Amino acid sequence: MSDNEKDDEAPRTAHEASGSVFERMKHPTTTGGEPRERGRSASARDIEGEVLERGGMAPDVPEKVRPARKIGRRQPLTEKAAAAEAAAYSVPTDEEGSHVVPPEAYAVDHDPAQVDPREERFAEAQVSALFALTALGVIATCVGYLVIDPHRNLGRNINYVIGGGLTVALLALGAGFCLWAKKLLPHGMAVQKRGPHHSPEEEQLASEETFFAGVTQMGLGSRKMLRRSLLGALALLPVPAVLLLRDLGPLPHSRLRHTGWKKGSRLVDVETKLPIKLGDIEVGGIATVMPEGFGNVEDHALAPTILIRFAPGEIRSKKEVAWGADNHVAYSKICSHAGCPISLYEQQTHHLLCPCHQSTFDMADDANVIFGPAARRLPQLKIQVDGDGYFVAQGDYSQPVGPSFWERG
Amino acid sequence: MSSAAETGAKQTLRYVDDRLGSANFLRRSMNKVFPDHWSFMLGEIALYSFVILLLTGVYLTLFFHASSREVIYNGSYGPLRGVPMTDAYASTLHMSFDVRGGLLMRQIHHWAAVLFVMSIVVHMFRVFFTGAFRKPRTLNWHIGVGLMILGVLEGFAGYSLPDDLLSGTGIRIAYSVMESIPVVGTYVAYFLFGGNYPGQDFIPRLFIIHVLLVPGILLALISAHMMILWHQKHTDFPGPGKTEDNVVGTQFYPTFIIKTNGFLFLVFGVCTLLATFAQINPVWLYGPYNPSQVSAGSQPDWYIFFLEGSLRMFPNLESNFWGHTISWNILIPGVVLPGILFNLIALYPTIEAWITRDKAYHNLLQRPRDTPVRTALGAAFIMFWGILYVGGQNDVLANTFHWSLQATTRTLQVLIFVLPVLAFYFTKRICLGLQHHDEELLHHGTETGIIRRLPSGEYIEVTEPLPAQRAEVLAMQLGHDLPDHAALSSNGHGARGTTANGKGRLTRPVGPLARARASLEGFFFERREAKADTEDDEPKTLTRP
Repeated sequence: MSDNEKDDEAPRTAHEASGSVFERMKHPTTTGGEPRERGRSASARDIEGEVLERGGMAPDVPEKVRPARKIGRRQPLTEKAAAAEAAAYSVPTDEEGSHVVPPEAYAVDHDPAQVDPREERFAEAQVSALFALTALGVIATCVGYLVIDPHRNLGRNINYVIGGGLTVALLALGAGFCLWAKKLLPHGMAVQKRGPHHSPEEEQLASEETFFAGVTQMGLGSRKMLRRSLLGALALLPVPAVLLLRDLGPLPHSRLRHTGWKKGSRLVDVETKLPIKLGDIEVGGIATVMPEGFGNVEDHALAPTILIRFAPGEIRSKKEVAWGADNHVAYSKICSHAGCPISLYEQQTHHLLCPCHQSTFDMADDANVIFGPAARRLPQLKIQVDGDGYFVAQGDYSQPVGPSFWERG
Repeated sequence: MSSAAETGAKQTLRYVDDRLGSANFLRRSMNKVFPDHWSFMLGEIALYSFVILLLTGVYLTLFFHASSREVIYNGSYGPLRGVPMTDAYASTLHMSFDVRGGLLMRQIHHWAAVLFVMSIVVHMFRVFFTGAFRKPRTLNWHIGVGLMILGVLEGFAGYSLPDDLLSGTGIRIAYSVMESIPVVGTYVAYFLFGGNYPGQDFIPRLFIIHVLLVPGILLALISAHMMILWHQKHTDFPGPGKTEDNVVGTQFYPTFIIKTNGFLFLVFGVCTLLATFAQINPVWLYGPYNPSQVSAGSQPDWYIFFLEGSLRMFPNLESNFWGHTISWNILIPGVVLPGILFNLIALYPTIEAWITRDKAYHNLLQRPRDTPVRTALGAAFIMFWGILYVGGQNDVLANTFHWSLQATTRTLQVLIFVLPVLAFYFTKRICLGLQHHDEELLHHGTETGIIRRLPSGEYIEVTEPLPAQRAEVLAMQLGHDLPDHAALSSNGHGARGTTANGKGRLTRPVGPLARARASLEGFFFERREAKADTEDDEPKTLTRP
């Protein structure tokens, strides 16, 4: 790359060279990634028999209008600089493989002689202003913390002030650091040799030798009895560790098959905590019910049940009618797919939809699955009306409610 | 620097060096060269959001009660006063409304968690599509995949802790997923939860997993990730002066360290900005968990969407035999699918190296177009994952756009098979097209936009060759390795026919594995049109009648 005359047209950073779209957007006039003189190529000259005189900018733009030099930007390389850069990159490195490319090699500024001192002072002022802003943000945060009533406006006021103050402080600090690095710190290009990724072969051999010498000394290959007893002992050692986990929880036994429903449990509305009587629910209405006397949620996570009242003749399943009472039917509210409580009921279609994974059950057809990932109907709870007109369960669910499990069968 | 401070600093350095002999290490570290590219910041975002998570997380533990004990809320949030709830939820309300800055810290923590997983994923995209995972960095890729999985788990554990209605629903589903595992599933769920769902034990256990176990592993793995990066030195894109054997960039001290510190504060500042003005996880609106309730449109955090989508989209299969049940509709989307996806990601470098017989070291990165099949596989994977992601919000989509929920789901069930294939095909064609364009640039140069008419009446378009440096870099990227380079890297993709060892192409593969590998190799390498033997500097001619 060193001997080419046109190196001053070359990309000078990695992403220029890789043809980054961002770079091209900045220089839309060429696909080469850099505005540059045209007509200097051999092919163009050959064909034209003339040198096309067109610069990167429109010819009528005077030199003075061109962007002034900025701190931290690279200027086009001169041929000499390009040669020096190439040389610098390929120069052997110092003892630990890193060296800094001399600034003159890649013509990066921050050469004190070239930088306008006013510009540098301005940059310093900018960075200092950002750091001062950090201090102001911190002060605002502290004042807000101490002064504002934390309960005012549900705590939004204090949140805005201390959050806003911290935001300003942190963003200003970050911006200050970045500006400091960009404008005032050297942008020296450095080159470092990558060492080999693996050890020299003799080292590999030597370490293998050491390892296997140890193996021989330990006699794991030759001393069979020692090896087998050791393996046996090591195999047994984790057993207590596993055993100690045993008391993490009870064994399932048949717990997953039972809910809080018993024979004669009244159906209690979850919201009002009152038992439900015949006539409490209007035609087409639903209620979420729990067994009477339900306490904390722990024991009753499988018990939630949905009670639906149909108009006479709407129910299409004979079994459903038989297990219900007076056009009222009770089904488990726990989805047979992943156990979410199903709650979206469409009165006209009698569809019950689970909001978690959209399994849809036709409640007029014994909770048949008509859509979604659930594989089973919802279990029905046998109910009847007791002497006082209250709904009561005839017993627990006849099959496990909720999602499937291995022992379910 | 004043002389007193200078003396102090010197004394400190001496003190440390006298005891550790660290001067040489320190000097080499300060001189360490880091290449510069915007995409190398993505991993830094992940690192810094982890720092933010640790800082804010420690603060939150000071106020959070990891307990399922039932209490009656009596704090300053009116709507829930007098409502029975778990202590975990009550303490979350307390720190949100009665601890000054508590809500801010909670929201910074949550936003940083979202950012953490997101930046890990985007960082992985960068590493994948530029081939940075290749030898010698395979181990670091594995660690990275581990970090990603742990990050997702940690996020899920974190937002499950407050025990609000939304998080309780998420845990309920997680319990069901555990139950679906054949043979041991019920026991796994019972031992983890201490019994039937929800149990009293889960929140304290989840808490210690969330604040000690997983962060500890994350910290260890992140340290390993960084140390390996430090040891192996960062990869870089090809460019002037850059070779497989050097690193070109800025030195760690002072420029890089100042820049990267600035970036830390910017990430922190953005998280704080979001936490101040963009509400996240308002648990007081969801209410305490209650197993008989769920809100419509329940949605997890974004990184769980793909699991939610797979659960929603999988058909309703279940088998019963010999008194046992296998719930395929949960087992496959909830356990098997993430297992396959994560394993594919983890094993991809090994698979690719095996297929392409690439045993070389790679320190220079590739552009996505340089490896069309890898890029297309990545695009297909992202598309598959993206459909799962969209599937996780099918109800919200259907509701927002007034589509039929059933039609939305059915469409997605079809698209998940169709779109990845299309994504593969189109990505590959785009890559090849871009390669073709690069070839043209390399051999014919750039268009000048000038059309000339020759004396013969023929029209030609004037082009000019690329600058030498750019042509050199482009040739390297396209796999036309320069002679001294070819020996070093068999630069896998695109360089077929010139395999590094120059043998093996003529022998017939023996055995099914070898045959599979040979056919996969054919799939992997796109045979480009043979390039013209003569370096063609003539301008491309365009003849018109």
